[in-house]
Amino acid sequence: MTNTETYCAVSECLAEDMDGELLIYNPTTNTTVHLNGSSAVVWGLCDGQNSVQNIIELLVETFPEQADQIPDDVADVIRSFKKNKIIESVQPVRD
Amino acid sequence: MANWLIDRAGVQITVKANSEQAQELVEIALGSMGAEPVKSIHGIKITVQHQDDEWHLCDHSNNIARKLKNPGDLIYHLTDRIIFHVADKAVDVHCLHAASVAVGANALVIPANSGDGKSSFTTWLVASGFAYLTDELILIDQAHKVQGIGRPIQIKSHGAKSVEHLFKDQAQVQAGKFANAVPMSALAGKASALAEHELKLFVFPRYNKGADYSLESLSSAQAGMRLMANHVNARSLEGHGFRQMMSIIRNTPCYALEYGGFASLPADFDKILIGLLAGASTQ
Repeated sequence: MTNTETYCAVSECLAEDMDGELLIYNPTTNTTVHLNGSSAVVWGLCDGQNSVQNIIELLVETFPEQADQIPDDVADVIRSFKKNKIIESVQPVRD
Repeated sequence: MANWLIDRAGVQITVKANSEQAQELVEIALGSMGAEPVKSIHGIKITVQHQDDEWHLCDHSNNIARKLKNPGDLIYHLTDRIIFHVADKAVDVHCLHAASVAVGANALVIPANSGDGKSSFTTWLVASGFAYLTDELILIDQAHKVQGIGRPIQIKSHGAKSVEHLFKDQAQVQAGKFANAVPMSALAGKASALAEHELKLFVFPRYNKGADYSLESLSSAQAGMRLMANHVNARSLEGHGFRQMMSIIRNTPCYALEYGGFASLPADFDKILIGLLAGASTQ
């Protein structure tokens, strides 16, 4: 995975806000993934427009006190999303 | 010869016993399932006969035939075919890999993966006075009513010792190579398979040898993730049943139970569960 890659949710996935926590269900693989607060934010930013680098920059801008940790955390979260097959790599569509 | 009809969620299965000996064992197998005696075959046909000291089981819908030595194995494979067909073809219900017991009209549902001690825990609950619904498959309808497919409780060979002390009549247990079939008569327990029950409580059990007892409330998300892992007919439901299942979870208390054996449970654990079924909190 490189920071130039862009991801979006696998189209079959269903998301449900469960009292502030996010559950993602992939019916194709019959797997359910529980996302905590920060993972849910990264999930929301995987919209087919933001590259991994964009996501890191957006989070660093929002949480500057955690700037050192954010790149590794985002990489870990993206890797787990890929492993659970809830995101897929896309070519970004630019306006 | 005798026939019994199992009719659940739009699925009809007729079990035909071709001899007196087969009839006696089929009656044990279906005794907690709410099967009705019928004169003719409806829907899927399964036959049982006893010949040359072997049990012969045939599922005519897909020509699966087995010859089995032990009565417990016949019960296991017969009820496994019934559960398979219900889970495969049920209409408008959620089928969950879960045990269930009840107090009055209130159902406690116990979803668990194989090996988590679901059947042993169910045996303990029935021996403690809870009414038995199932140890394997529950159906939840649109009104959140629960029904079970009440086969005799299946205790795998390696788990037999842990529940033997709960048997009131060991002679009623049907031995099998893979699992022993424990009918309600062996526990002096009562079954409540056909009546509809209100879904009141989920408990996700985990037997962990040597572990201390803990009973912890789960968030909706934690429970939802565990529950979908035990949903067996999502593909048959609109939107894979996901949003409906999450709605059920939001409105039902959910707990994770870990225990290291029945001796590690609190002396009043049955009363704790009865309280939770009635809407009490553990706090």
